[in-house]
Formats: sequence, structure tokens, C-alpha cells
Amino acid sequence: MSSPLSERLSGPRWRKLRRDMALAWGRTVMMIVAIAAGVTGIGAVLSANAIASREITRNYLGTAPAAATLELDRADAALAEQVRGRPGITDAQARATLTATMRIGPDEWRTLVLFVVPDFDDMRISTFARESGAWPPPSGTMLIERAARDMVPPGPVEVRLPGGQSRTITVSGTVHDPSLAPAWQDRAGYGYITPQTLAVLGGSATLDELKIRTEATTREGIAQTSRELAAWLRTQGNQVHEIQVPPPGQHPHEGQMQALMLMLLIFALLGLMLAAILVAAVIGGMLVQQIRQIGVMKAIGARTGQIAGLYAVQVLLLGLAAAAVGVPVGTLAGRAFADVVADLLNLNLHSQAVPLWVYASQLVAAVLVPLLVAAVPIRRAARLTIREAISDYGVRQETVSARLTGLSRTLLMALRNAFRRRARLALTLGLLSVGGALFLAGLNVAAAWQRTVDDGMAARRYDMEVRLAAADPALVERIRTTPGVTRVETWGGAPTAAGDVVSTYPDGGHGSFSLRGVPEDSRLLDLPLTSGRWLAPGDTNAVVLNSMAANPLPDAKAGDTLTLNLDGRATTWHIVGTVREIGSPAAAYVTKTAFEQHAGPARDLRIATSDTAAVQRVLRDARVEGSNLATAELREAVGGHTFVLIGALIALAVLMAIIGVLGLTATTGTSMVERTREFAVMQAIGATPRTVLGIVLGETVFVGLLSWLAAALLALPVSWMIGDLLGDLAFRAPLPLTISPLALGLWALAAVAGSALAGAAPARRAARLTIRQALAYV
Amino acid sequence: MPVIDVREVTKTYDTPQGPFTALRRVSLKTNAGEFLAVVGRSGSGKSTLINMITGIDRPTSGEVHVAGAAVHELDQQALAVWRGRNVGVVFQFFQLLPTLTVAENVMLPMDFCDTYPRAERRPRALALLERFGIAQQADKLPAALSGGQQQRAAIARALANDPPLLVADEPTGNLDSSTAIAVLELFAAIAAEGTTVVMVTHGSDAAPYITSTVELADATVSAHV
Repeated sequence: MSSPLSERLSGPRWRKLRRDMALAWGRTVMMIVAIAAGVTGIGAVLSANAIASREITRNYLGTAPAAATLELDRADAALAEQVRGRPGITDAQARATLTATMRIGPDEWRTLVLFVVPDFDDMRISTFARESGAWPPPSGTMLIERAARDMVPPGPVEVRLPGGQSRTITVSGTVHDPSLAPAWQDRAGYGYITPQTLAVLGGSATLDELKIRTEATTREGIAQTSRELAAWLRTQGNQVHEIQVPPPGQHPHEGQMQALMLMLLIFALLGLMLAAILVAAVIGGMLVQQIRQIGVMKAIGARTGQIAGLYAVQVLLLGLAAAAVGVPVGTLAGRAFADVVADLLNLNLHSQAVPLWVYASQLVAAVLVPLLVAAVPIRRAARLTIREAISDYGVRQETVSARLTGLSRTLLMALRNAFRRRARLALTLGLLSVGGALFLAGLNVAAAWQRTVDDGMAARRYDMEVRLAAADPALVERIRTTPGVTRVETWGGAPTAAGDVVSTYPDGGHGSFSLRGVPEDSRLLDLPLTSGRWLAPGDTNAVVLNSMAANPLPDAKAGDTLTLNLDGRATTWHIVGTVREIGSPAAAYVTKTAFEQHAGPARDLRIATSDTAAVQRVLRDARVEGSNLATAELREAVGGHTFVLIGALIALAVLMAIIGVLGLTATTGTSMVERTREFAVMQAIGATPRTVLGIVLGETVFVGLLSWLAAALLALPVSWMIGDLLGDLAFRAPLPLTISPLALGLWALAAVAGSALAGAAPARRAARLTIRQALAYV
Repeated sequence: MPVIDVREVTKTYDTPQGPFTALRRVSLKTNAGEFLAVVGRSGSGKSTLINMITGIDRPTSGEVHVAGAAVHELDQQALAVWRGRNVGVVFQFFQLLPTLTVAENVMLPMDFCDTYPRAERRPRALALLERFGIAQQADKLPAALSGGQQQRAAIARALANDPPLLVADEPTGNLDSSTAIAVLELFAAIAAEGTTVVMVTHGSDAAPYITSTVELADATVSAHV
């Protein structure tokens, strides 16, 4: 027995709806595919974001990260025991962290951050999980973080501590430490050793860090507790060099991940909007075809609401069908993408569960967005009076193209046809232009990013950075005379903080802020000024801040006075300018003279050379006590941080282009169906199928070229906005507006080829119809 | 009481060339069971008059009363409801919906106007088709029918809601003469049963069947016999 609803839906108007959809199955499928693609995009991004955000927090908090790390002269279990009893402190453990170097090639060294753990079986703060190898690692061996496996050569590895000589130890296993930025991204190895192994490496077995957990959970609260603890430690005769409070509960790359997800979400939403507009375009085209039928239905008693309801239900059904495809595919894609993100961020995914709200959002996106967009043509068609519907409408008396003269008849007809239905032309152009603009913007931003990194690297006119344990003029001289070396400068470098608390993460890089002393006659640094001026000889308290300094000093500007903490002492500076610097943590530049007055002798070398290996040999022969970083390494590290983002941008750009071309195909197909009779009449009065094909191709290629122009113009503000957002998130500086000629060329090709393809199939079909068939076309 | 009472109706359209008067102070009364032919040259105002009677268009001035309703005063929503129940429309080109079968086309007005219970709609459609001799075509799509059969189906559809008024705009214009005569006979039979039939026509073939004629010339009624 039928239910009232099924009875209701079996009425003739609903049968008409079903059969109309089945009859135009190609368009129906295309609309479902387009909405499903948009829903898949939204679902993939939302699912991946939900999983990755939950798991990044779960992984990070799973390591019981230290709320704060206090850098002391010395720390041990007894001191930690005393600290545990202090107010606001819930736990404390002594540790040490050293930035060493390891040999990864004959003359190639890489940064190795060594975490010294006194008791591997009693880790309560900043924990990591054993994956393989003996636990604890035997003396003379080290465990490495699993993401550094490809970077650290197997077996014995030569390690050099700052101020020490290189020694060989063995890699005995791996651990998982999801609290750190992945080793491969930061081009640094992470090693975990006992104090005994540290002694084997020639280091002091003394621990110098106190890691604490606090009752306070906000950064301000933790900082206050840490300050009070530092004050107490000083009263006990300890020296407190630095208090590090990284953003609480936040993985060092969480911001990067969120930026990526935000970008993907924006593109996915735009993709959905494009799909919805495509649906509106196709439904609009279909309604134009059915105008007479609408008029007839009204003449036999249909009310405006019934007509609107009929077509709204059609869009609703399309949305539901798209959701049926898009939701599971989006969820699967989201889970796969979450896997990629987890792999990139070195996380373990404990669960791939997708929250219910994500499914609900996809359903709403699938059903509501196309319905809202299609409401405009549906309303317009449903409100037509019978007289308007039954008489021809929509063709203007005169179009712009009607005034065109001096062109071939075929080309003239193609151009006039393009302008016949201006609303349709606008919609087609809009779809293709927005798709194209997003494609161009994706590639423009990728190019802007590359240009920013290139310019950033070019601004550093040196190829190597070497940190010496102590100033060594003789070594500097030896390097200066090494073949290939064109210039050596000695710079100052010291960690600093805008207050008495820094935001540095345990790896020492993320969140750090340093004071850099630049020689007055330096020729190795040429950072573009964003405000004020660069340092001048004789400046004693002038400071220039780089882009990332906006993190610790969000409101600082040229003209302000600034207090910087140097090894526990407050120093006062006058900000004279700001510069754009890419690939560097927050830094404050001062003259070398000023640096040495406040922070002691400068001992960092910046070397411009065409032969870094030769300099490496000099350093090795001199058994230099220091570490080095080649600019090329830095470029790789910056690239490692962002290639996912750029890759995703390009993938989305291609998706947008596909949706745009699909839109053109849809509207061209609709237009061809509408004009089947017209083609038949043309053939009846002597036009060949070739002429018909020429007219249609001329029309679609013309639209393609127009859209290229519109896309190129529209891409400018879109590229600017995305570049501004991304640049600020990544570098705290907007990306320069860059136009990728490659992208323009590719889109020109895609627009013309896509247009030709979109027109070719329906035009061929139209040209193949016999005149009798075409004239009978309803 | 007349089924159609058109009082002093004038209809003027604004065109790029200036105002154009399609009907000028036209009055007309038609009773139940009449078969009225509206004749005149092309552009004389025949279709405009039909549009006034069916509520498809509104008069610029004057009144239109049809089947007891002041059509000129109804809004679009009320007009749709009124028209569905009171007027059956037959078009020159039949205008059957191509994706519905013949029976479904006839059921459609009942569906839109909810005039008969669902269970009764198909039997009623089949009965109408039987009456017009095309019951065996009920489950075919319109494209499979001849022109005459399609026009019979269109008449069946127009009568689906049992309206007191049937309006046909050149219903035989697209048919051969023998089929046209069959259609005219149908209209005459329908009128004989009490339904008022108004038909716009060019030809004189309808003369033997009609009960009255209105001739329009230059937007006015030139003769009413």
C-alpha cells in the first residue's frame, strides 16, 4: 500500500520532473558531479582539519610538553625536587639541550639538536616514545627521532658539540617525539642521549635546563609562575639565563597547518560556489527551454509556487544525489589527506573519526547552496506570466555585435550569437573567469612565494653561517684567503626577548628571537626596508626589526623605544626601521659595535664563497669549535615548510580550472540544444555542417578568450588578497603581487582549448541532425 | 447570467513605436452552452480578447466577468486558482508536455488544482480520452500521436477539471481539414452539454457548428451575430 507521500510524489508533475531529469541525463550527471566535487572538496578539507587538529593536539599534549623551560647554569634532580614544592608548579625535571652538528657527507655537516635525558625510565615532562633500539640508549649511542631517519646516516655518526671536537657515536634506535617540528622539514636531526653519552661526546655531564609544568594554563599565567620561580632560583644562588614559554598546548607547526587548512577551505568554498553557479546556469538554461511548458502548466492551473516547487525539488534531488556521492568521497579524501598531514607533521593518528558536524555541513552545502543560487532563475521563471511564457522572450532587439561590420559572415554570426543572451553570456563568462582567476591566483601566489623565498635568499649575500665558540681572527683570516671566498664578516648573535620571557620551543629555533650585530660596513646583507631606515655607522642604541619580530613585538614600529632582555639584563633601544626578511626567526639588528657593548664579542661568521666545501675543509682542519649553516640548507628548510601549501594551492587551482571549463561545457551544451531548430533552418537555406561548426566554435572560442581577459584582471586582486593572508601567516610580511606568465599562458591554452572542446561536441551533434529531425526538436 | 461578460474593455500596449491599442471599448456577453467563434484578420485583437477572458492579460480599462468572477480584479495567485477550475485552454500547437504520457497530460490539471481525489484522476482521464476516441493512446508519449490525436488529447486535458468555459486559440489551424472538422464536432458536442466554448479562428469551416460569432476589426467589435 502506498504512503500518502509516495502517492503525492507519483503525481504527473513529479513524473515529468523525473523524466525531464532522465531525458537530460548528461546535464543531470554533470550537475551532480559538479556539486559532488564541491562537496568532496569541502568534506575533504573539513574532515582532514577535524582529524588533524584533534590529533595534533592529542599527539602534542601526549608528550606532556613543558609549560616552561628555564635555562640555568646547572640543574639536577635535587633542584627539580625543590622546585616541585614551589607555588604554582605541578612538576619539574632537569634536562639539557645542545645544538651540535653531525657529519652527513665528506664535507657536509648538519645541525643536530641533542636532548640529554638523565633517566629514560622516569620521564614525566617532554616525553617521547620508544620505537626501536635499547632503552635507555647505551653509553656512546643515541636514539634519533624517527622523522630524521633519512637524514642521519646509519651506523656510526660523527658528532661535534659546540666548543668540542668531533666524536663518533652510534645510532642505536628511534623514538617518536611529536612535540617537535619534523626533522626533515627543519633540516635538523634530533638525538636523544644519556648524560654518559654526552660525556663521550666531550660535553659536560651537567644538566642546565629545568622543565616545569604549572597550574596556570595561559601563556601569561605560565610566564608569571616562571618569573616567580626564576626570582626564587636566583635567591638560591642559581643563574637564570632565559625563560622559555612556547604557546601553551600548541604544536610548533600548528599555525602552519591551520594556515594550510584555511587556504584549502577558502578554495573549497569557492569551488562549491562555482559548482552552485554552474547548477544555476544549467537549471537556468533548462528553464529557458521549458518556458513554453511553464506557460502551458500555468494556463491549465499551475500556481507560481507549484512551478517553483517543481524545479526547486529538482535542485534538491540533485543536491541529495551529490551528497550521496560527495560525502563518502569527501570523508575518504579527508582521511587520506589527514594521513598525509600526519605524515608531514610526524604525528600518529589515533583515530580517524570524523565529527558529525562535518557530515552535517557537507549535507547543508550540497543541498542548500545550489538551492539558494538556483532560486534566482527558478523564481524568475516561475513568476513569468502566461503571456510572457508563451510568447518568445529574451532576445534583444539589438546587440553590441549587431553593429559589428567588416567581418566574415560566419565570424559575425558567432559573435552575434555570443551576445544573444546576455545573462547567459555573463554567467558563462563569470564561471569561466572565476575558475580561471582562481587558477591564475593559485599559480600567481605559488610564484610570489617562490619569488619571496628567492629574494629573501638573495638578500643574504653570504653562503655560509658559522657560529664559533669564541672569536678567532686567525681563522677568519685563513677563511678569507681560501679559494672561492669573496668576503668574510664577523657578526654578533645572541638570544634575546622582548620581555623577560621568550617563546622559544625546545628545538631552539621555533619561536626564537635573537639580537644580531651587523658590521657597519657589511656588504653581506641587503634586506629591503619596510619602514624607517637601516643602521648607520655610529648608531649605538638603534635597532632594526625584521618581519618575524612582529610575533614577539606586535605593536613595535619605527620611532618606538624598545627594551630587550639580554642574558637576564634589560637593555634599551630605539627602533629606527623595519625590514622584510624571509626564512629567519624573529631578529633585531643592531650595529656590531652596539652589540659588543651589550652582549660581548661577536663570533658568528658570514661567508660569501663559491666553494663551501673548501671552507668546510678549513673549518675541519682547524677543528673549529662551532656549527655552520649553508644558505642552501636554509632554502631547503624554508621550502620544506611550505611545499605542501604550494602543492595544495596548485592542485586546487587545477580543480577550479576544471570546474570553470565544465561550466562552459554546460552552458554551451544548453545553448546548442536551444538552437537546434535554428541550425536546421540554417542548413535548410544552404549552410553546410561545417558552417554550423564554424559558428559554434567561433562563439565558444570568443567566450574563452573574453574569459581569459576577465580572469587575468580578476586574478590580480585575488592573488593580492591570498598573498597578503599567506605571507602574513608564514613570514609576517605580505607576498609581493606576482603575475606568473606561465599561468597566463596555461590558462589561455586551457580557456581556448576547453572552449573549443565544449563547443565541438554539441555543435557536431547539431550539425549531424537532419533538417527534419532538427525542426521536430522540442 | 452570462458565463462571459466583457464590459467596455480597452487594452493598450506600450511599444517602442508608441502606445498601441489592441482592443478599444469592446463589450461581449456569452451564455452557458454557447459555441462562440471569434474571427477577424491578423492583428485585429482576437488573441488579446481571448487573453482578457482567460485572465492571461489584464484590461487597461473596463471589466471582465467570467464564470461569476471579476477576472480583472484578481491577483496572479487568485487568477491561477480560478483559471485552473473554470477555464480549459486549447492551443493551436497542442502544447502537450512531451515527457508525460497522454493520460498523464490529462491528469496534470487535476494534480495542480487538486480537483479530484488522487484515485479518481486516472479513471477520469481515461474516460475523457475514451470519449474523444484516443483511449488506446493513453500511455503513449505525445510525440507518438498524430496532430489530430494530439489536439483531442489537448481538449481532454482542457476539460479535465470540468470547467464551465473552454477557450481555444485557432485549434484547427495546424490540422488537415477532415481532422479539423472532427475537432469542431467535438467542440459542438461539448457546448451542447452546457460548456461555453470560445474559439478563435481564421477559417469559415466552423460556421456549421458555432452558435454565435464575434468579428473584430481594428480593435473593435465590428459584428456580433
